[in-house]
Amino acid sequence: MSGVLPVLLGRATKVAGIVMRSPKEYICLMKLHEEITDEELEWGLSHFIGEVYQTPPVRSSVARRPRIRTIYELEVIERLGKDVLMRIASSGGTYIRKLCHDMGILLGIGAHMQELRRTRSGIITEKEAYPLIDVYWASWLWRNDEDDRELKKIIRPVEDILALLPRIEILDTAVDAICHGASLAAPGIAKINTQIKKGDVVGVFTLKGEAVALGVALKSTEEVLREGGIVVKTERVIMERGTYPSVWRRVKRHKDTNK
Amino acid sequence: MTIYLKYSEPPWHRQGEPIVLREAESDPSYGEPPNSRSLERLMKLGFIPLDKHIGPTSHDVTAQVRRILGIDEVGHGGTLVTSGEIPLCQVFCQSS
Repeated sequence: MSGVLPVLLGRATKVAGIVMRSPKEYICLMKLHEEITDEELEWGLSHFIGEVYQTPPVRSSVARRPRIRTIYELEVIERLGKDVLMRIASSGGTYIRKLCHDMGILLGIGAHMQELRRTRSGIITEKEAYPLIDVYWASWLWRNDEDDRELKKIIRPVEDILALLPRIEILDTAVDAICHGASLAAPGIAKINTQIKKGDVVGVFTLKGEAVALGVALKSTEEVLREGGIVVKTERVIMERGTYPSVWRRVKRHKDTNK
Repeated sequence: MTIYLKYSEPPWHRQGEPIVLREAESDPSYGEPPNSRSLERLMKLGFIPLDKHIGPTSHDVTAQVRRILGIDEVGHGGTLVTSGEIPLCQVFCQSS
């Protein structure tokens, strides 16, 4: 397996769940165990488009119960006998190895995944991904020549990875309270995305575009506009405390006590 | 031969549009826009879009990136915490 793997640094590790749940695109080489016609193959694949049930493989890190995953696109690029080269766009958490296995069962001839490359993870495509050796040399230039330009091209702000999330931008005065784990109330909001539904994971950002926290929407956009109240329950704080002033504190303490 | 099956457009883009509830600006004396972050700050609040090669596991390459950048300690809270972690660990070992 090869391909796009976002590696999170420092506090950015808190957004790992978002990376996992983001949609993916793969190029997959499937090996059929017996010869079949193109028509039979197409019939088989047509059962694996849209919402499919999937049980995680034996060797996996999650509970083995059926889950619903979405296959958005399924394309056979090339076929040579038992070798089938496919492009698959799916929701996060889809096991492609399992998908190939299940296709083999449905076709009645058996099949397995031979090779897999992830060509896209959320907004990140393989065109903008760097091999490990590039990271190595960029880091070498930074350490030995004190030239950080290459490394700054490679390391991107964590906000880029949250670009697909429904977005709420908040006032400066609300930021530090959120950093301390408070829920977000409507008066602290400057901008809010349409189409937010109750229960959605949303990204809370400053007006400068910095990620403050991830949270769960307690109200839809329409409800927020109509009645206000508590809008987001903070789940994961990304920004360090004390980045913005803590106007919510009654007694102003020395900055160092926040750490 | 080619087969193309489509269920729906993959959600590669954010849904919805922003609505302004309050006209406000952010005070430039606090924080900084993500794109003007220094390298040191990026290592604390950034990611590498890695193109993993065949062979090592995702866990292996993540560990290699940490080693290359030398930010293992930073990822765990900085040198101050690292020196504090060792006695803390000893306390737990002794008490159990």
